[in-house]
Amino acid sequence: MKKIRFYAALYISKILAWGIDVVAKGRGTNLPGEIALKISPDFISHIKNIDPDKTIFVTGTNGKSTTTNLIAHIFKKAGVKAAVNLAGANLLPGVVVTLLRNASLGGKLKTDVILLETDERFLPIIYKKLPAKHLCITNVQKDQVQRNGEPNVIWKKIASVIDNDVTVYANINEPNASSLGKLTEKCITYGVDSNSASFDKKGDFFAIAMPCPMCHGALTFESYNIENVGAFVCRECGFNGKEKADYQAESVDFENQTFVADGKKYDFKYNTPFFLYCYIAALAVSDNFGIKNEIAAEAFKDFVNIGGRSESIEIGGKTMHYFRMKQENPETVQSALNMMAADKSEKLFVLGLDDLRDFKPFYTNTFYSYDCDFRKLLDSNISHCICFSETVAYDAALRLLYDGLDENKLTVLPTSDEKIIVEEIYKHGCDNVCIVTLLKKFNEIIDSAKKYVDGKEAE
Amino acid sequence: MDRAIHIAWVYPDILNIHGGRGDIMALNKISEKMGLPVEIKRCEQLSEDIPFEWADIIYMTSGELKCMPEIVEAFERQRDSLEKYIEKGGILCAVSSSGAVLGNGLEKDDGSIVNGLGLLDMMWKERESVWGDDLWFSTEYGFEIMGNQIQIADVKLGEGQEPFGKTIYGRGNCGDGTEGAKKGNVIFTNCLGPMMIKNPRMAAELLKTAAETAGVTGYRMLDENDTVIEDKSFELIKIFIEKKMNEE
Repeated sequence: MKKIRFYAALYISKILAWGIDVVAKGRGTNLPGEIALKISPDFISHIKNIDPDKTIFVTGTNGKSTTTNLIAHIFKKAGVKAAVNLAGANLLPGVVVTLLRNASLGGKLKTDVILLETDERFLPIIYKKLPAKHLCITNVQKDQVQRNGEPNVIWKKIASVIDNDVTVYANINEPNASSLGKLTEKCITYGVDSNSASFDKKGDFFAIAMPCPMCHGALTFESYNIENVGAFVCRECGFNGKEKADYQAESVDFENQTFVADGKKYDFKYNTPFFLYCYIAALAVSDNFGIKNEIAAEAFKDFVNIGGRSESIEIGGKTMHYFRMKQENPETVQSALNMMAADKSEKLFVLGLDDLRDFKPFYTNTFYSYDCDFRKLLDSNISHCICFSETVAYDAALRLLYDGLDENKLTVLPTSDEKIIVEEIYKHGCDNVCIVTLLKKFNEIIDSAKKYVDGKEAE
Repeated sequence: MDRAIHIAWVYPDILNIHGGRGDIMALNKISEKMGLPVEIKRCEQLSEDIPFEWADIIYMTSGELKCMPEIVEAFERQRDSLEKYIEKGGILCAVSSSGAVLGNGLEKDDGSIVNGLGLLDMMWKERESVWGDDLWFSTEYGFEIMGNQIQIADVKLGEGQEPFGKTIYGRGNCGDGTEGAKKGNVIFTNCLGPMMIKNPRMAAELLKTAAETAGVTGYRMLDENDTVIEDKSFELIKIFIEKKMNEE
């Protein structure tokens, strides 16, 4: 009976996935999986040819998609057939869709390996159905507190699937990921040397680091490569991220976009400190799957990332720079701020934090912005700041004022009406506009700006 | 004015979540507005002594529950000094999960119990799922406080234990209408925001209490001109919360 249910699920979901592809390619990432699981709850266990030793999960708070996509690109270059959830559907239904798309009508997987970006919160559930023996951990950081509470909640979930049978690829410079690597004898570490983009927080009275995942004492970062990732040391127990990793990006040259690992030079197109960790993690995984480093090097050269972190659009003489952020995720906000701060030309800064509407109860969290530092940005030639939101505009404004913004340079718009926001943007003479908000709101602002400019031209 | 108010910021790197450092920033900034200088000392390591004799306010911002046993142990090492500090009216304030340190104990999800300092009569029980929402409550000070809460443990107050406030909206300790706990100048609150940033009157009240205990004079309390943006924030979010209350 179970077999019949499995085949029914396979055929119905395959047809559905095919149908969705025809109507709206790229949208069928979850629904066929949900249906397959409804018909056959143990769907995955019936797929033939799954080899846990050739199954890789990429998990963690930030960087999962890019790392997965990079590994997939290397595999493709090497001629390794991989079942990958490139569209980022990283919950159980998304995993099922990836498998059914790569399975024959007989229910047999047709690929050499399985490579899955895996949601960190649902990792134990996915692992129970598909016990991958390779786990690449990017980082465990503050994120989605309404769901996750605190980083240790996620740490425990990831830890629950690690034993000595699992090979963990751990970021040695990120304390939580590094400590997870200590739970198996098969740990492969990756890391990045201090480089020209590294920084420290010495002399910053309000700087905070994090608790040591081993002894819960205070960790100190001698230098940071990115927020909360770098050369850390625990003064209480000695746990540290200063040792050379098994795969270490050295001699990092952002100007010429190269780094060296194990004596070999690699080009990297996306030359930000954040991406470096994705490159070196991908190298660690691909090397351990027997792919020659020359192939990885070639793959790095022409890798194109899906869904970039920033974009620029010119409308009516103003260039709108968008910097992607995730609410309740201080690291992504800080990355956006750092990218903006690197540009020293005069800029109008538009900040659109909002209330959280992922699930009920909706609520007005802006406290995560106090885990970020706006001072570098505010010192980078800001002509004026606009804070908008129907609910938290004044809270966002307070955050900027607490980091030293001159009140005369601040406009608070207690609205989410993009028309009003756009009118305010075009009141200011500065043509360099930096916007930090949710992607949906940015798109609405852009549409409204186009209409505004068209309207002005018609006048 | 005799001296600055002394604030011990306990374990800023360990108790590092939910933007908690904003509370310390607020105490610093509000004190300036009040003309009441503060000196803030960071207590970095668990092995270092907490300056009970020096401090007027000891502040623990929000941290992860996992760190609680080590923090309790660090305080217990100086139990005598801690008790003398509380006796003299020193302020001890803990926010969100850090409040577990002040209670009788925490029942973890595996059933094990971690003892707290027993300064407030409350028992904590780790939740199966996180509860995150806005929080709005009244206080004995005559003003209301608004913020958020992220709760990974329910808090049950003992009989006779006074809450810090009474909820107008939000879950507070466990949905029973109580928010936080207070005994003398030992305070626990679930309120994030950061609470002191969004509610500067509370920051001023804390500083005033510290000044009175230390015999420091010559400062002023905040007036409505000092809190224009915070008051506008309060009103805006009140509309949002009232909509939710009407939907319930």
